[in-house]
Parts: sequence; C-alpha cells; structure tokens
Amino acid sequence: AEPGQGAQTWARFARAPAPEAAGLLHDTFPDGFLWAVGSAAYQTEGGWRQHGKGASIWDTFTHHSGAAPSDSPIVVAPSGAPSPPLSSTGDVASDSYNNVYRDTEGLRELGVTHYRFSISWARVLPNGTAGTPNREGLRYYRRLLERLRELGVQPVVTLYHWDLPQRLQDTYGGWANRALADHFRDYAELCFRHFGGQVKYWITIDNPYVVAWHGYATGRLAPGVRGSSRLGYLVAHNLLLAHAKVWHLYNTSFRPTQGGRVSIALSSHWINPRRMTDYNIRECQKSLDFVLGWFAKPIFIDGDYPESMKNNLSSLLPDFTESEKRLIRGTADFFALSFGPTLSFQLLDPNMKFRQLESPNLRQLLSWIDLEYNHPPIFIVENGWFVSGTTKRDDAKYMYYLKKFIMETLKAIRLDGVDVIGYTAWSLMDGFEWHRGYSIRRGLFYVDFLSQDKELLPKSSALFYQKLIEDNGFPPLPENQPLEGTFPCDFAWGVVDNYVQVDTTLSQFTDPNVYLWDVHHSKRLIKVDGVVAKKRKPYCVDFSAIRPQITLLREMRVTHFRFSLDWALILPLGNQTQVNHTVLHFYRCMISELVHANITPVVALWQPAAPHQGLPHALAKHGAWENPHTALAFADYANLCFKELGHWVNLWITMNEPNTRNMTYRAGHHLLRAHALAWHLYDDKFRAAQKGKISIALQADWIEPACPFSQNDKEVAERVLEFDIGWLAEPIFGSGDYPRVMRDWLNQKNNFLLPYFTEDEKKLVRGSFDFLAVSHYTTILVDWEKEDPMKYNDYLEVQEMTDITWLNSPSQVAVVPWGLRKVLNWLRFKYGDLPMYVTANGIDDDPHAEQDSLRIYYIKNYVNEALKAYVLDDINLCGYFAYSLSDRSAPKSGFYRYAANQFEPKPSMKHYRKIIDSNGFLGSGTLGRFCPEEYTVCTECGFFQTRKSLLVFISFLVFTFIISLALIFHYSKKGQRSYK
Amino acid sequence: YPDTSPLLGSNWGSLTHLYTATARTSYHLQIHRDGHVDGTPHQTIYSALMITSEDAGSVVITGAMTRRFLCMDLHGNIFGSLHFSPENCKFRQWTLENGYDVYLSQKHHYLVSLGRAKRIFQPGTNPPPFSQFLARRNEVPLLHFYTVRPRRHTRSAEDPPERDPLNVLKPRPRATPVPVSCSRELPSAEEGGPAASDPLGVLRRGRGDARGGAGGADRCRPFPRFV
Repeated sequence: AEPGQGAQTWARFARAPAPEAAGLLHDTFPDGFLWAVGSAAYQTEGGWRQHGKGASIWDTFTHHSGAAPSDSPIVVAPSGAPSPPLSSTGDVASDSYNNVYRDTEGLRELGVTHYRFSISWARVLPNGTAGTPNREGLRYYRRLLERLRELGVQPVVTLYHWDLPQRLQDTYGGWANRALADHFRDYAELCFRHFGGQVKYWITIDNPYVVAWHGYATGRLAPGVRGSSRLGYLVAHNLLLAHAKVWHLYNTSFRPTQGGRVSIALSSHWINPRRMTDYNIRECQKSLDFVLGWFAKPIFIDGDYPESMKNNLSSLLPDFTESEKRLIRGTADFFALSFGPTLSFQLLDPNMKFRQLESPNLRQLLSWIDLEYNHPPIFIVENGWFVSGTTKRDDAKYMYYLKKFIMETLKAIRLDGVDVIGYTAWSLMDGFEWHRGYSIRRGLFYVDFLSQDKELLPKSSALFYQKLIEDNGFPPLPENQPLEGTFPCDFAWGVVDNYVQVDTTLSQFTDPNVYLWDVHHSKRLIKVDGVVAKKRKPYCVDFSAIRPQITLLREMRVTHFRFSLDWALILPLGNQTQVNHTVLHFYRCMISELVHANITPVVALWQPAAPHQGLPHALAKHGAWENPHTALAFADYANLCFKELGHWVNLWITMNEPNTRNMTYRAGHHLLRAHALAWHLYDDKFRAAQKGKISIALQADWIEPACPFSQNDKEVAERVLEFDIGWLAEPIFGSGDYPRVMRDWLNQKNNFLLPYFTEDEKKLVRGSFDFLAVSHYTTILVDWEKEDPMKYNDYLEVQEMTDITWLNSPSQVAVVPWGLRKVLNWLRFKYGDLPMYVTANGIDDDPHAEQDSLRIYYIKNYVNEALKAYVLDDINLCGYFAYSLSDRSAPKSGFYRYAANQFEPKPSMKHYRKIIDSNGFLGSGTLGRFCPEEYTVCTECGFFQTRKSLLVFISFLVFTFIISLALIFHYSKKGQRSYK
Repeated sequence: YPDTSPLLGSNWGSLTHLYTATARTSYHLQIHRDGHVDGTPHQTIYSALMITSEDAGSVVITGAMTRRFLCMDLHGNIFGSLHFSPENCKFRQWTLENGYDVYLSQKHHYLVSLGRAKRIFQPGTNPPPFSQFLARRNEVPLLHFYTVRPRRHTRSAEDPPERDPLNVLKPRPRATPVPVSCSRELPSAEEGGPAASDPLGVLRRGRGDARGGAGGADRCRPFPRFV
C-alpha cells in the first residue's frame, strides 16, 4: 500500500455507529488467539545487585537523579533492610527475581497462553559486553522458562526493556553511539543461543520512541540525557539499525533451527481530528507518522522515514544509506503493538499531537495500522490502563479499561477485518512504574510493597481476565436473548409528559363582543362599543390547546397518559385564599377530554421542577419541604384536586420522583408525611365515590457493584440503593421506618439527622400506597475503593462509575436494559409482590439526527426486559410509561419533535406504537394473546347508551299511546253504558 | 396582547412563509439571527414566520426561529427586532385583487418590501416590486428547526485527561448532610421560643446544593407558619 492509506480510518469511523454496533459485541476471538500478560524486568525483578547483576541505567537513574518521583506511597523500607528508606527505585520492586514460583502460579491462575517478560541485559552480561555471562542470571531465566514449559505457557521475550547496562552508557554514551548495535547483537545472540529453543516470540526493543525521545532528548527517563531533539532522532536511528541487525542475526543463524518470530514493540497513541477537514486529518496522519511511523515505516514499508518527518525536520533527521535501507526494510515478522498510558496522555510529546485531539481508541489505531502497513498480523504486546497507587484489589477502573480495550480489539477483528493474533494485558503484577514510581498500579495482581513476602493477590481485573480467557471473548448470554411474549390484556401502555402546557387561549366563538362588518368601505370588522352578547357557558372544546395534545396521544395509541399538575399555577399563594379556577378548569377539561378519548389520565400532584422545586413561591420561600407546614399545605392542595378533578382520575400519583440525592432528611420526612396525609385523605373521603388508586412514584435507577466478585462492592451497591430508593420506599412499602442499612450507616458516621417516626406517624405513613410506581432510566456502577478523591463520595464511601463498553446517550446516560429487570426484582424482594408500574422510562437522543435510533433501541430493549420481569420472574407488572411525549417539556427525550407549536413524530414513536399494538413482542410463529375488546363484551349496552334520548322518546310515545288507548277504551265503554 | 379576539385570528400557531416574486426571481422573506432581513429563493428555517392577528386587519409577523418581530424604521427599511413596539412592528394586511397580500406600516406608510427602492405608499398606485406576498405553508421539516450547536472538545481544567480519558468514573451529584447541629452553631438567644421544637437546621454541604454554603445561620432559623 502507499504510505498514507491509514488516513482513511478517520472517515471510516466519522459516523456514529448504530446502537446495535456501538455497545458490547457478543462474540468470541478466533481459535488459537494468544492470550498473554506481560511484565518488564526492571519493573518487577528487584534484586538489583543480587548474584552479580551489573547496574543498569535505571539503577543509576533512580538512585542518583532527583527526577524520580516523590509522590510514592512507600516511605519506610521493609524492616531490617540496610538500604536507605525505600524511595522510588526498582531495587526490590515486586521481587520477582526471588519468586519465580509465585509469578508462574499467578500465570496459572489467569490461564494465559503466553507470558511476556524481559531479560535484564545487565543481569546476564553485567558489563554489557559479551565475555563471561553471569551464570546466576542465566539460571534465573532458565528456571522461569522451565516453569513456563511445565505450565504450558509460551514465553514472549523482550531483549531490551529500557534497562541498558550502566557500563555501556559510561563507555559509549549509550545508544547515542552506533557501536551499541554490535553489543546488542552479541547480547541477543547469547539469548537466542541459551533460550531460543523454547522461545517462539522475540521482541528486540520495547518502545524505541520512549527510549530515544525521553532517554536522550527530554531526559525524563533513564539515562536522563537532556540532549537536543537532534540527539533523540540519532538514538532512534541507532535503535532501528540495532534492531535490524538482531533480526538478520536471528533470520540467518537461528530461524532455521528455532523457527521463532522476531519483532520490535512499537508504541502509539491515537488521535482524532479537531474537525473532519482534510487539513486536520493530514495533521493527525502526521502525528501518527511522527510517533509510530518513525519506526514502523522504515521497518514495514521501505527502510526510510515518513515523508512528513523528512519534510518537517530536514537536517535534524539522520539519513539512511541505501544499504541501510535494505538492511532495515522488512525486519519484523509481525507487528508488535504497545498501547496504553505509558505513551498516551503521558510520554507523548505535545508537539507531536499537531494540535489535534488525543483519544485512547484502540480499534481505530488497529484499523490504521492495518491500512497503513499492508494488513500485517498484529500482536498487541502491551495494553491496559492504571489505577491510583492507593487502590487495592477492587481495581474497577482498570478492569473497565481492560474490558473496553479487549472489546475494541474484538470489534477490530470481527467488524473491521484486522488480523490481530494476540493480546497482552499489562501487567502481571504491580511494580515500579518508571517515571511515576509507585504512585500508580498496573498489575492484575496486587503487591503490597511494604510486605516481606510480597504475595501476589488477584485483583478484580484478574478474575475478569481469567473469565474472559476461559470464554475466549464475550459469548452471547442466554439472559440477553430477546423474549417473545405479551403482557396481560389490561396492561397500561402509557407515555409521560412532565407538564401539560396550560394554555387557556380559547378557540373561536367565545368572544362576547359584537362587531359590524364594514363591507363597503374598509372591509374591516368594527367593534361595537358598549354592546356585549350574552356570555355563554364555557366548554372544554373552547381550549384550542387540548385537541392537538390528544391527537398525538391517539396517534401513539397509548392507553394511559401521565402528567403532573402545576401546584404553583393552581394555588399561586400556596393556600386556598386564591384558587386559579381558569387553570383548574383547563385541567378538568384536559382530563375529561382524555377520558372521552379512552385514554386513562394518570395525574401527579407534584414533582420537583425548576423554579422553587415546583412549589408555590410562598411555600418555597418559607423553606419548602423543610417546613412541616408544607406537608399540611400539600394535603389541602390534594383535597382541592381530588374534589375538582377526582371524578375522572383513576390513577393518582401524590409525588413524582422526589429527588433523594438532593434533599435533607428532614425535608424527606415532611415529604413522606405529606404523601401519607394525601393518601389517607383520598382513602377516607374520596375513594368510595371515585374508586381510584393512589400512590407515590419513586426514581429507581439500578445500582450494580462495579466489581462483580467483590463483597465490599455488593455492600456499597446495597447501601446506595437504600439511600436512593429505600429512604422513601421503606417507610411506605416496608417496615414503616427508614431502612436499617441507612440508619446504621449514619449512626456509624455519627450523623444523627435522620428523624424518627412517632407511632402515629408510622401508622400514617406505613401502607399508604395502592401500587408501587418507579421511574427508571439507567444503571450506575459503584465501587468502594477511593480511586479519585475528587470524584469520590466520602459520605456514602462510594466511587460511582460506568462500564465504558455500555452504550451511552448524547448526554452520557448509560443504556443498560437488564437494569430494569434487576430493579423490579429488587423491589419485589424488598417490599413484596405488589402491583408495579414503571411510570417513566426513556432516554435522550441526538435531536439533530433524522432517526432517533438510540431511543428505538432503548425502548425495544427496556420493554423486553420488562416483559422478562413479567413472564419469567412473575412480577406483577401493570403498566409501562415511556418517557416522554414531546421535546417541548423534555428536550431531546420526546417521541415528537416540537418547534413553534408544531409536533412531528420521530421514528421511535412508530416503534413504540408497534409494541403497544402487539401488546409486547410477537414472534413470527407465535400468535398474540386474544384480548377481548371492552366494548364488544356488551354490544347491547353500547346500542342503548348512544341512543338514550331516542329510547326515552320512544318509551314516551309508547306510554302516551297506551294512555290514549286506555282513555279511548274507557270512554267508549262509558258511552256504550250510557246509551244502554 | 390584550384585546386579542380569536375571532379575528387566522393562522394562529402555524408556520407560514411569505413568498414574493417578479417575472424572473422569487423570494421568501427571512429574518436572520442578527435581525437582518432579506429574501431566500427556498424556504429556510429563517423564513418560517408566525403571523398573528393583533386586531382587525392588522398583524404581527414573527420569525419562528429567531423570535424576532418584523419591524420597520421611518425610511421603510425592515428588520427583525427582539423588542416589540406597536407602532413599528404592526402592519395592516389586506388582499389585492390578484390574490396577493400587502403589509403596510400605518406609522411609516411604507409597504413591507424586499425590494431596494422604498417609497411612501399611495393608495391606488401599483405597489413596488417584492412587496406583494403569498402566504405559503411551511414545508421545512421540524428537524431543521433544532439548532445545531458546535461540538465542544474542551475538557474541564480541573480534570486532567490522562488519569481517566474514557471517563469510567462518573459521580452523580449528591447533597450530603454533615453531622453538625444548628443549636451548637447558633446562640439560642437569637431564636425565639419555637427554636427548641426545631433544633436541627438544613445541614448540608457539597455538590449539587444550589443554595450554596453561606448563610448557615439563616437556614437554621425556624420556619414561620403561613396560612
């Protein structure tokens, strides 16, 4: 391929994928896929001068330079060590040198097929130069290889992972000298000869970018030479030549007998254009040329640097002779890729971003490599992320990065056709993290650096990786299969509008003024002053705003419609001294028109909203729900609503989604009282006549433990659920008091603000429900470990997070359909088998897209999970309300677009309607359950109902006829008698 | 609008485009975001107008997208204004015998016109070009009325990207009560008798509390009873 082919990648991925393709891909990796884990000598081995090991540049660098980071959590050395306090050095690190068995047991636990480790040059050749090798050093690697052979784990061996023998640095100035290439060749030959029988994958040099640039130009890493960028480019030049020599050595002398493969591990970042313009894409291409192409193009294409580098750098960049080009070209048997936080967002030189946007997108990088370098087999030899140095074994953040990267690898293989042959999670265990010392951790196994024995403890990520390898990917799960079936016949199919637009503009014919039509002159209507026609009774049809609303609902074919009344609008002063009868009349009309249209109104009395929490200003001013009198005012208001509107309302919601995450305990207490007062009021005074049902609607998003195997995370999840849902649910649906978990937690934190219910209150609140209504939108992961103090909630001791393989809405709400089923089951487990309604479920979508495909996907899958809850789990689910009707009251979340008083259905509306029409999901073979339509049950009743007046008239006629007959009969009899 | 009578209303709430043409060219009147008014050969989101009746025969023309009123200055130039002034932004509308509508400013005596030449309207004379309009129904899909905001690539400065570029960590704002009692914070003398019955105040801190941290004393005061 021509250089520059990779640039197509950005265009290819410019369009957002369909929801089905954007989330988790349930598929497995190809057979024979290499599952590896890696480590590097200096990061883990320790034993820095054990058994005659020579010093490496990293030993010198960490001991002598102040550049070593000081933010290490390690302050004191293990007891009895003669060395000065253990600072950020690799002197001991994870002590792998003395723990071959421990390390290999870790590998066995993971079940990896390959183990990537590096040989410490100074351990086998203390002076760096060939001569007498260090027997003990060779023995260590031989023992390791022997153990790997026993376990059936294949080695992937790195010859040079940044740890040059110090002697070579002192004598030659390190890689700045061309002579190093020959020494490297000698060292490699030694390794090939000693270990080559067992090793089939060799990596000559790891990450030459970092070695050259930060070792010799910026001096951030060992040997810490702050040379010019010219020196950096020279070192890279020498590294390339050294690599080429080693490859040729293997190719000619060892490959025939050993049959292995040799490559160089190249690291890259990924970058996205600021805007999708040709210029920005060219800059991105340049950025990759400067980082990855710098080494990859000479090796994989033509032995020479990328054009863009040569043009930009001119004399800074050394030239290859023609024979060198021939030497370098084609010296890799596979593409060894390293991708992760070493380079990305860390050691990448900012100038090499060319003002474009860095983004850790492995899939696109793989696609770019595939296009740019002629479809090479790619072995990912390092990938992963990191957690903070204080995080212990529940390393959720690392785990979800790992999951994301592996998912992207799978998609690259299955969807983009990239030839990825293996994957290496980095790393096996926590160790010395170069310039970041011990402030971050990257291991699948936890190491307590202060402990003597340095046991390897599997982290959550290790358990995850082990399961992944066992499954060879992400095989489809039976519980994720869509279910076919239908809901019960009287299932409530609803839609939500936060508020109905109160628009009391009247349509025509209510104007009492009298006009003259000046037909001859001005042709205008002239109002006649002082004359007013008789005011006629207002009718509901006079409100022009009601009809269009109902048309939308009928078009959707929903059976129920939920909305909230506006308390502040009905009672502007918060009490009965001023009742806005116009608004009340409007609501009455709205509701009765809904009933006429055969749509059951579900009316909420209150829901928190923007100005003053949706309360009348007077109440908000006096403390809102903090004030106990607000509860009484609410009861008065509820009484008014029941009296005025209750005749048509079958389902009442006292409070819709009170915000438990932004409310004081006292406010919550009063809110519960207010709800209970309203419930009892209805129960005592109105239920007999109105026969409706009334309850509270709570927001119930699902909380999932971030680490599925962690007991601590399960506890946190339960705690957050109790604080989010149980706080208001337990008093009403459960014990009558706040959740045990909540009270215990607060007591333990010396927080005694959670009020107690008096016996009367308990009696009042407990059982004040007719059904259980919940709004559910998304699922959140929780971890107990404090990964980022800025984002940690110290009060509940929870780190909230997300699984980055989940599908996300434009406003970053995760789409997790199974969360709905889980929350419904949890609610049943907690509060018993109650009739349940999902009173809101929906998501925002890109308002500029023609197709709101995310919403289509969301509704389809969430309703299906609701079906599973009903069919498989036998949850008494009575209704489902999609959120929301239109963009007017819920921007971006509507089934209808809204602009300038116009509504237009989005494609998702038809999908929801289809689900409603089939009352669930009908398969090709299955027939829908037959639901008798209500009006067909009693045809006669309908007949009489509609012709009531006619019947009265007929009966009247019959009656008069009979009377007349009787009179005629009577008088004729009488007449006969008198004639007699 | 006070004396609005729906009897006189027409086209209430629906979108209209004002179309005008000569033999060679045709335009729809459009009001731009900056208030500039010109013509466009095809219907656009900016040529979508709402024409509402003010009183008999007189109308107010509003750009649906910009919410600007179509107004006229004293030289007969038309522009979109966010401020509504009855004299400048109300027009008398009537229909000519050819079926076209004209809109006259009764204050300035000019016709609404997209033509460059403006002259005082005299009854009986021919209206200038581009001042006779047909009201056409909106054909622009509603989708187009959703304004596209440029995508922002900025990250918040306090959140360096290298730790968590893919945003695994996603805290939800949560107000958290702190275990401090109001009675300790406040001298009891400052409070009246009912203080004892309401000893605990609003003890919250942290993110998501829109009411902020200051004024703890205020928030601890007992609530007055309202009727």
